[in-house]
Amino acid sequence: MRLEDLIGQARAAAVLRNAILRDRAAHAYLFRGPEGVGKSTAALLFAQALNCQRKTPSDLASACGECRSCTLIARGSHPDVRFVIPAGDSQTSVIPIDDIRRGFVYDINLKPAFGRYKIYILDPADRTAHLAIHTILKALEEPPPYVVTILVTALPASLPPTIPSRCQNITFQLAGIQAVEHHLLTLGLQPAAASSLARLSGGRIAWAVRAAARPEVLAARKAILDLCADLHRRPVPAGLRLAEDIKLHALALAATRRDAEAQAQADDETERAAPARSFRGDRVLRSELPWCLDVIVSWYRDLLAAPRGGALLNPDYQNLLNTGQGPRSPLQEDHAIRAILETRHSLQRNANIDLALESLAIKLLSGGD
Amino acid sequence: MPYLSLYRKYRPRSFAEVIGQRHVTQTLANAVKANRIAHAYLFCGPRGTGKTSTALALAMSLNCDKGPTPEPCRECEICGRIMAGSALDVFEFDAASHRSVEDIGEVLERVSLAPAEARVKVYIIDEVHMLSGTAFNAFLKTLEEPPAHVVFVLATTEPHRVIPTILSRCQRFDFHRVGVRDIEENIRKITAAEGIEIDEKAIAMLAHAADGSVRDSLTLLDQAFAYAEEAITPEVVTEILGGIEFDLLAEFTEVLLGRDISGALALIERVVGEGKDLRQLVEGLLWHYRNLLLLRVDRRGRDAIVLPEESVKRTAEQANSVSAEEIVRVLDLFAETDRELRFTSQPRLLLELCAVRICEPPKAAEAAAPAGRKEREAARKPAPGAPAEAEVVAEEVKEEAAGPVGLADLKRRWDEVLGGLRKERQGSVAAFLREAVPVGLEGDVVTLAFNHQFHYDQMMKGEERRKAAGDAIARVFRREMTVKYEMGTEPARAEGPGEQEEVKDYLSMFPGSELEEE
Repeated sequence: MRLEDLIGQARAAAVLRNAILRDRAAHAYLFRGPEGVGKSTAALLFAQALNCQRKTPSDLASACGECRSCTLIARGSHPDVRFVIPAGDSQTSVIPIDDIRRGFVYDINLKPAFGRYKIYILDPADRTAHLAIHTILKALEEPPPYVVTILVTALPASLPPTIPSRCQNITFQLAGIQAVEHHLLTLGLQPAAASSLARLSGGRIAWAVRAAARPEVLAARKAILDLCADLHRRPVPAGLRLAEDIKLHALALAATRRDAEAQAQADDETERAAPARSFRGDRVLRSELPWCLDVIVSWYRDLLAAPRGGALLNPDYQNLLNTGQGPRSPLQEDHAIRAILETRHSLQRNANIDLALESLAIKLLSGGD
Repeated sequence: MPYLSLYRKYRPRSFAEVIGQRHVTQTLANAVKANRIAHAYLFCGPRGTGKTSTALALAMSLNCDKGPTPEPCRECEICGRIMAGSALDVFEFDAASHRSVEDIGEVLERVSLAPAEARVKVYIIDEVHMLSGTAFNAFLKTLEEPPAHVVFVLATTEPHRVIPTILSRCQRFDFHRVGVRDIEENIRKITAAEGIEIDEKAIAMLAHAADGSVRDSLTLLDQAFAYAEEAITPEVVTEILGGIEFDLLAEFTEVLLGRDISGALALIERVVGEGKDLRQLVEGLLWHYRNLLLLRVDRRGRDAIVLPEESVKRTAEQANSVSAEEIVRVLDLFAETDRELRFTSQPRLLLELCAVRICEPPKAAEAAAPAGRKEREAARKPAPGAPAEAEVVAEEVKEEAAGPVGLADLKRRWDEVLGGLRKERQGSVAAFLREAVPVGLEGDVVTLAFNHQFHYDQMMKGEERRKAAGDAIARVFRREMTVKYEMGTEPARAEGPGEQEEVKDYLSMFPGSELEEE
């Protein structure tokens, strides 16, 4: 894979390629942009390209992907390409300050072992221990000449402003819906499925590709949308079921994913201790819920857009959207959408899952009053 | 030699080269000349304004072989070493990664030793706000009375996090954001020296985007240079800023001015399809509407707009077709959306909601919605020349009144009741009732609770007052109702609850405004 193969990141790729071709790699980069658009992949590719030992003369900006340097980087064991990442893999784990000090701030003074550059990838740079990010300021600003630092973040606003100011900022953007759809088609997905997933992804290519490998995602989408449609035709029973059902769907999804992960782990023969895994269960469920809510929110968004001639996110539900609703005021949709977004947000901050979903169902049923 | 970033290559080396901080550099230069150097300085100011550079320039000025002089020669051994960062007597100490009391202790231990080669030992403590509390305290004594051969320079972006006992021991210099003109001049100089081709307009855009930081302007320039195939044009700068080109902003605005919601939705669809950042779009629209407002209220506003001539013309045309009130209304909505966008994973939805609200302004009857503050205010205005909106309200009342009435409806439309009273020239009754809250509704019996004994007594005194109130309620809900009056159980708030609260609300929206007694 080359930098320019990243979907929808032509601009970022061009800047990075030029930096390599003109031998003007900056000492510090900040890769910023939404989750799941390829920032981390780009950091890896850029590191490979900078240190590649066997570039093809026809394309000096890309790594060969096969030499010792490239393979070591891909495995994460290159001595000159250091990943400074959170300890632990939960949503809330942070990069400990000692890792930043030992793995970056002090380490930059040691010359590269055999690479041309010594590259540090802090990913995600916004998740460091309290105030620890300040410790990198000096090392970031005036490192020895062989150092290239890449900070990766989806939340640049949460870094102190002195950090972006010291870096070349490379902005990654969401891939267009059509680009995602096209890519899913090349992966061999059915056109209808590709269309639905691309719209649901909102342009986050990584999510779309992962979802494409899981048929249960589309099934859950359909079930949830059916529920939403029911909610307005037969409000009371459907409403009471909504919270419960969303959770069931998310649970089922989480279960299949957990099985898949456990399988992968067993294959790797790196089985973890059992208690650790049950803890991960709740986390997996929590990570499935946001997009279940995205499905619901897309429904209400379409209710708003349909009578106003906007393109639909769920074109396959066009008939249901257009019929049987009666006139609804935009304020109702407004309230509904805000309520869903709020729930999504609070779930990410560890709100009680059952309570949050039930309160959401009540809000949706009461129609905004 | 590997490539060096522009902002490191062109770091200022003397007081004269520091950009846009004359109030600091002049003072320091004079102090050097007069040989009246303080033992401790605190440099504060935003990123990229020259704090560390000035500190290094001070070190060179004091220690240059031909000095002390405000213009160090840069050729003598000591100047060279300070520039290379290898001088034995100039310590750059990074407080951010050495926060602990042990770290600062190590430095303090050696303060009393005489300088090895220079005249003065200079300690530059960068990011000083990061020192731990104990480290600060350990530092106090030395900072207050260091040996004669020592100068401390503390630099920080966040002076409010430095403890007051440190602040009071230093001469403090505040670095300001650098003006756009100065930054432009600097970019021109550097591009000329580097042989970079750059368009004048592009320079203006870079300087603008740097937001007062010289370092930001140079990282941006670096980026633009890395991206551009040949010359740096305004298009290149728009691209690297991830910004939204003017034409798109103008097109979007046209659609919104025409209140064409399907057009707006289609445009958002297109922007999302191209993968553009909606946050940037909203930010761009905010600027565009700000420009519209400038042109609308003041012809001379033109000068304050950083855009090519033809764009200004198009903006002016748009400005002429819309009222200032409408611009402000839309600006409010965009500003709110801009805030919300920071924390959302669904920027598209919020922008679409915003577009709907722009194209379909809420009607007076929906005044309960958050956007309805103005309508509520209108309904509350005193009777003379009752506003047109009041008429609208009356109209819609008739349409709505059919169904059963709940307590919520009563509360929501309470302002209408009061408005109706004023229209019937029953202002005093309205004033008393404003202090009351509908608390109950059973069948046709409305219960009103008062916060103050006085208002309650006044209502109980006059038969015709109660009748007027009953009539007003009946008019709004098209139904005869019996009204019960009682004293509220809520503890009475201090003077005039409702109104005072609301006035405060408004005041907080306009920082700096004061309430004037009539």
